[in-house]
Amino acid sequence: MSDPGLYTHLYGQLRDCAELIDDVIVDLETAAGVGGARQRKVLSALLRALDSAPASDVSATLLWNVLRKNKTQRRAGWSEIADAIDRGDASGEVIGRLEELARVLEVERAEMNSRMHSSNAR
Amino acid sequence: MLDEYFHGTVPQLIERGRLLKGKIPRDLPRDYEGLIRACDFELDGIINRLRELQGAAGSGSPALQHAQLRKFRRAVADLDHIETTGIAVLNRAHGDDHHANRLLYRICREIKYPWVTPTVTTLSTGYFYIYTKLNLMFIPPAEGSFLLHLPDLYHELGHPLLTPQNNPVLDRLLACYLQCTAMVHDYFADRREAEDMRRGPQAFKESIDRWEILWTKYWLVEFFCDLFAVVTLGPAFAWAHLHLFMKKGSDAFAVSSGGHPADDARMRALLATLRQIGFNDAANAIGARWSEALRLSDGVQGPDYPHCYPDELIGFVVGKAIEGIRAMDCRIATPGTGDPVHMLLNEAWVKFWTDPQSYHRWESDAVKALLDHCQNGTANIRHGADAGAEVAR
Repeated sequence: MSDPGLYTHLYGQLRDCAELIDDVIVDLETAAGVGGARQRKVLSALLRALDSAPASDVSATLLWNVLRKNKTQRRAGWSEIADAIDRGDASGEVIGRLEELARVLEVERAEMNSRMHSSNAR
Repeated sequence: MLDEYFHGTVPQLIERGRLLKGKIPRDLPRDYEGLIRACDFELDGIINRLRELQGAAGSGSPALQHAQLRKFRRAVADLDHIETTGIAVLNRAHGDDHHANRLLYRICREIKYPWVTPTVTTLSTGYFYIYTKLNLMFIPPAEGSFLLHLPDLYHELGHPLLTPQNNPVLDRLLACYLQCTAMVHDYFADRREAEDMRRGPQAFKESIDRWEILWTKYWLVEFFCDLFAVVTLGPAFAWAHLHLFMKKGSDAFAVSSGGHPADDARMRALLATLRQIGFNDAANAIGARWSEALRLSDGVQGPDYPHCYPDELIGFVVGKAIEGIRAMDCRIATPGTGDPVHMLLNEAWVKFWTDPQSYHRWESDAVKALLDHCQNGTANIRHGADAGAEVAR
């Protein structure tokens, strides 16, 4: 595969992951976590996998790579955030951690989008 | 500000999405139905996401507004992508594309491809690539008139299989892929620990971190797709890899930061796979030519190369890829495989090396026979006196 295809493949995964996190932020901020139970469940499972077994799932591996590249992984404790999301906890600490994750993913997504459209090398 | 901005732009973007749906032609062959459905589905998803933003209208806490702006930007990027890829392809489909689609359909039937056959377009502006979200493969405009690079179609077919689909058959390959991801983490964690113990240089430890990310982010996918191709097609794919290296390669031992693993590491994996599935002689022949190609291109292994691409990892990936492909019940290439497209693509490489000077003439007839086979479903691809020639074994 040429690079555009590989980057598009990763772009799709990054986009889905970023969309999930923002959906949960929107849910927690607007409905105090009563609306998007399914998304919260998916995200909390993903965050727990980050702490325990990032290689168990394609999305967790992707997130692990993004965080590792950005040196954010040292602030681990994602399982606690996962517990808070399950409870529908919309405190500043939880939203702050999710925003941190969302920002890092957005930078990576925008970078991948730019690579997709500028690379034609093999 | 966001509130007003969304009021002005979101309806316009929704209209753009609707307009694109209306631009999908109605007179395309059946091969395009998958792409039409994928574009329609994606556009519906984008329009729905934009409508949600329209309803929320950019108000609330700063965190909420940040999230809404990110969602808006992603929707815009996705809309641009569909417009410039899927819709553009549907609007410009022509005869060469139809032939390529018929060929890919034949290939998928031969190898018992376990997923929907992708749509092919000859609108590539680079080499071969596939957009998995739309299941849309791009090949260069003239590629359908030649045979030697067509094995790369099989590599591209590997990519959709590694995109999670909640499909029990594809999950068998994905499970093997994830075992490789775990193995890569463990392998480099051990190396890091060993370096810590012996107080190795910081720069080398940082290289270990970088390799681990590159393996799990990019390279494992590429290795798996290479191995899917060689397991389902056989020697022709390894020859095509050599061919591409001769034309476009640079440093075969590069410990790159880009999307693809080093060409030599890829070839090591391909040859190991060929040996495991019964193509020892072909592997020896390709290996000998590969060594010559490396000598000609002055490539030299740097000190990091064996640490970045250790035999242990490559061997593990080869074993797991074969296991996963077998578990999906795909047709595995063997020296006795007699499927027409499989035979022709392998035979092309035998002809090429046996008589390079007359290869072009042979290929021209063979492509015509391939076109006929794809169009009419003839049982064998017969062309001149060479019909039924031996494939490299």
